[in-house]
Amino acid sequence: MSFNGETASIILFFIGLFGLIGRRNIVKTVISLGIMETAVILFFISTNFTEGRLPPIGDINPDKMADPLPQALMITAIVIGVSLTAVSLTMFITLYHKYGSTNWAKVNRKRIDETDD
Amino acid sequence: MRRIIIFIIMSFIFTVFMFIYKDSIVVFPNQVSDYIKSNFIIDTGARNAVTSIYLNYRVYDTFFETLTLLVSIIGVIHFSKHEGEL
Amino acid sequence: MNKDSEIISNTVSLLYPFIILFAFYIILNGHITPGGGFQGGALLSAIFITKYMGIPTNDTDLKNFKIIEKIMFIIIMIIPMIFLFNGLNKKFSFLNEYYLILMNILIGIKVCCGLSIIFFRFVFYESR
Repeated sequence: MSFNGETASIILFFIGLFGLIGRRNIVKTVISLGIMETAVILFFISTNFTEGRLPPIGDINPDKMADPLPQALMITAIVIGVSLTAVSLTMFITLYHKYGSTNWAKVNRKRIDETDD
Repeated sequence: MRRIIIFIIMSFIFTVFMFIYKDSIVVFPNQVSDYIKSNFIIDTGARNAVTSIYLNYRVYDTFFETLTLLVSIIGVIHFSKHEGEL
Repeated sequence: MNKDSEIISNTVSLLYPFIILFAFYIILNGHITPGGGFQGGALLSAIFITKYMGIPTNDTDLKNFKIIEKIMFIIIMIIPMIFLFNGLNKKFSFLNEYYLILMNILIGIKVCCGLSIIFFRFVFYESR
């Protein structure tokens, strides 16, 4: 088995999943979501790719072209990732000014105390 | 301690996943890709296949992607509570 | 952020026209070379970011950006509905190239407005 883009993307995906589960910092959760999304983009780009393909521009032989479909899908995914990161960071800043902590557990405890009162 | 346990579980899942993945043979359905690759210059007039896909063949992608960007900006403006004028 | 950095403002004012040229090159040649609306729009929003780095003022009006973005979204919805869904691209096939250039320009302006709004929101309101 060779080390290609798909293998690297699977490793990146599990790194992001570990950060999502093992860490309790909110900023690190957002960063882990970004890493997982990058892994998915790398997987889609490098799948169905063999050595020596040419970029799909101009009238070259269709047998030598790389697959243009996942590349067009991933342009959409990149822009959606930017908007996801922006919205989650805005939500985090408002949450931090309200509760004063970056820890999921502490924020959750403070919210429970607030609703009990 | 919690982090080490999670790391061990993740490594185990990763090893099992790679053990299954290395023998798998994926057959791609290439009909759509072949059609686009051989016909996009005549159909759409673009010489870049990616542009021809996201502006002509799959134009709904562009619609809802721009809608997602617009909704996310509304979310950025709505979620930020602060003193003073909006 | 340091308000009066001579080095940054001089460098940015040198780089300014080249960023504009490169962004419009990428947008206008999106149908024959690698590039397109999204990438060129991100570069166009880099113009506003470098302008803020050179002259850090707080009086940029976000209202114009919001209005332009909504109008662009409506135009982006309308033009393919008229051109593609009625089969006009098969009848008048010489219009195809102009359609691609027009849509790339519209998408570029829309993405530029969106990313600029996100950047100025974060700089003005979230950096308390």
